[in-house]
Amino acid sequence: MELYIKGINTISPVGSFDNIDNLPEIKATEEGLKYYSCIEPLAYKEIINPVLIRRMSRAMKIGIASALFCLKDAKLEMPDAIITGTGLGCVEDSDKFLVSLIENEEKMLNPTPFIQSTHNTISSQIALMLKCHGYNSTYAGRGACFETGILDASMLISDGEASNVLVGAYDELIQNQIKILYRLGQFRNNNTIKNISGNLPGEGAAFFVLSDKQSDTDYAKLVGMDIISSDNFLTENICDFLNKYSIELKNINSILLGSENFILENSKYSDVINIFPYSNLLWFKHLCGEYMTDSSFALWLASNILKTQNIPEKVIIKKNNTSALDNILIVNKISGNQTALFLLKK
Amino acid sequence: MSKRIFITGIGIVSSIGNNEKEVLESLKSGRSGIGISKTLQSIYRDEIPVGEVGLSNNELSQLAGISVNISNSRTALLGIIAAKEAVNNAGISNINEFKTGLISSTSVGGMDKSEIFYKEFTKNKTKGRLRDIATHDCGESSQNIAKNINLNGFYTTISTACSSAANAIMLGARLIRNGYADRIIAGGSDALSLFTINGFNSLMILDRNFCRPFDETRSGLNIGEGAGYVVLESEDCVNKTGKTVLAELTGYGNACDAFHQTASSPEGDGAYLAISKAFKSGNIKPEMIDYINVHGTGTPNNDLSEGTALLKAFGGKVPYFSSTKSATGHTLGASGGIEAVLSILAIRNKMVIPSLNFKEQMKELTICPVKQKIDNVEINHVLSNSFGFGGNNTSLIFSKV
Amino acid sequence: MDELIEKLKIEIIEALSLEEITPADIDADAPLFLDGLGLDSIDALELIVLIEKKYGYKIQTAEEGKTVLYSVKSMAEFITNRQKL
Repeated sequence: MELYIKGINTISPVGSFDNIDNLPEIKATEEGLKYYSCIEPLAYKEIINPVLIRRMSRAMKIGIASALFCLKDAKLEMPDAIITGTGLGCVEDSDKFLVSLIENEEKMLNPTPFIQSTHNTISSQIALMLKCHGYNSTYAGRGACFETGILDASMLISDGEASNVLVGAYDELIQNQIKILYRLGQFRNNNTIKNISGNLPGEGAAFFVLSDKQSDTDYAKLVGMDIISSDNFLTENICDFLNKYSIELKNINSILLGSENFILENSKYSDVINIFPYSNLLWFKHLCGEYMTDSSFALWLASNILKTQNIPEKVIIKKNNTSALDNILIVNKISGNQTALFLLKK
Repeated sequence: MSKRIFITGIGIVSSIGNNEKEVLESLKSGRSGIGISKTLQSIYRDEIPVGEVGLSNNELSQLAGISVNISNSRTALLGIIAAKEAVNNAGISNINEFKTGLISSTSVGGMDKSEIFYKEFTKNKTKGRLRDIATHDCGESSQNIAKNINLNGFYTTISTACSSAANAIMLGARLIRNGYADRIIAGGSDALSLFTINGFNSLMILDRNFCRPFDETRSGLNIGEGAGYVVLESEDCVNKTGKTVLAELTGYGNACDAFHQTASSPEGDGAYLAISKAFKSGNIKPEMIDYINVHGTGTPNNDLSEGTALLKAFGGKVPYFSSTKSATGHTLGASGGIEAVLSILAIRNKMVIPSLNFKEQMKELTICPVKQKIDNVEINHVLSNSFGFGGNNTSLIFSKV
Repeated sequence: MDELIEKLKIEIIEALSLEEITPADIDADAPLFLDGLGLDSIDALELIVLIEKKYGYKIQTAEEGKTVLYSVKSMAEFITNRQKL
């Protein structure tokens, strides 16, 4: 896998890369349940046709705007393929249709939320806007949905089916879902430390243009990606993964961890950090919260760090070296008991 | 020359049978699975016919070999049954012996359970049994199936509406060709739900009678439920195990119609593109196809669009074709998996499966589906079409080995 | 009838979130779909729900919908005719 990242964009709770050191505001529901929420573009109409925007839910606006901004960033008008990943898709629409079918006892239902609840709504809306007849796919739910999208893109490129692939992920957070997530015990309200936590529900969209052609303006090179299905041999699997790309553990400059906390002792990442004593330790979930496709935010962050050669203060847990910033390894435990690994080079 | 992809196992559960054997019997006798639902708590129960798997969730649990005390979504139960059958059918005793993965697909996942939860939850946000909402996301059924076939390897979930399972099979083949896996279990599962019945009803595309694909009087689809999975293996893997090969997946293609969020273009552009890509990828000429298992939902829009695409793709000489949705109902995210299994059964049993309820030729087209079963036909190549919302169109080609 | 037409215009704008359009922009005789307001088949389904919810009259088939929803005037005529029954 040698993929060049041509363009990137995110719509997330932290806004832009320049804004990272201003940590996102933690919001709360009327019951006081904390969560992160996206900073949305003020004028969607500048990027999305106003005629199309009127029926769009927030997830659609976030996802589609991020995809279109990403294409602009890559100076690409027409991708060869469009691939998305999403945990719950347009959950506001699913929620709306479910509630209205129950409240109206199945009568007089407006079809729009049903149509938009389909998980591939955003990948097909982007295709519709661009008139892109190429390959189109969507991966959904727990497990490696965004990561499968990256794998799919890399195969399209290596098979010669595509040269530029638009691949991204989106997940929106709605009030009913926050209540359910807290009731399920996936989040606890009391674990913010000095108002910083990665263990809060979050949301966001991030899109990438991946290509096999190198150029001076690339953000980074995605050298490898893997999805580890079991926690039992995680460190062994990480070593095998790096071996495959002929990189020694000690030569990994920084690891970007999906930890929900900046205290790593006794965390689910403690085994991982033990094999990387010389690498800088970074984290990201306090910038976007936790959601099924948050690996996409990590990939956006790492790409920016490599391009700008600047690690923002607020993402550093521990600095262990001062060597040249030439690579980053992302290790993110995702829902559904899988761990995603991404290896990026300058 | 690309690496060959063999199919060594199939598994199916649908309104026309709970396993391969029962389904084959139904196909031979021309039995339809469409009728009034026994279990659905809908105000439209007596009005909207559906293709229901005639077993309760408890009965499905027993068939799946899991405890009735564990709350599973119906989508997961159907998926476990069909995936287990496919694995057994392929004679796999140790699933982790080779690098094996699961690509499963669904359109609404555990929606049947979410509906139960939401009935309480909409009234009071502290109510509703949490176990009923814990299976809401589309990935839950995949994880659950992986666990129940004892798979340690990779699993993922595709959700591209009604083309989902065809895309799962296509991705499985590509993963094997690219060396990421030796063996993939691929297909899809979807259970009936109030959500989908009311959704399609609000779109006014549900027929109140038995659906009539490609008929002049057609007026919509019948929703069905079920699951269909195939086991895909690399040539190396088959050589090592010396297994019986059921069929070969020779071609596949996906394209986007990019015309409308729900409707297909009148010219069938996306469908034509997907079919053409499948021909090209398998190096197959249109005249080599002996039978087409069409998408054929029975909606006025789909059948006209698909028929137009077929005429274009086959240069007017369209081979035998039928819509098995006339028997199974439209099983949404599972349909590509179910129809893959039916296509393979057609090849193995030298039989062209009929389209039920067809009477009147469509005015706009010069072609009509096969009305009666045709036996003793040498079927070398089958084209299977699956088209979804958002213009997501996928075509697969299954071939005799 | 004119009163009903004006009322329908406001209801259509609201139901379909036609933010940039005012009742005066809608010609009661002009086709609502494609060339006219540029509405599509999903809007049509929403308008069918609107008529049923606000006026209690059910449009049974998509075919019937095409005639009734041709213009604001045809919608008003459908409702008035039903009210007379």
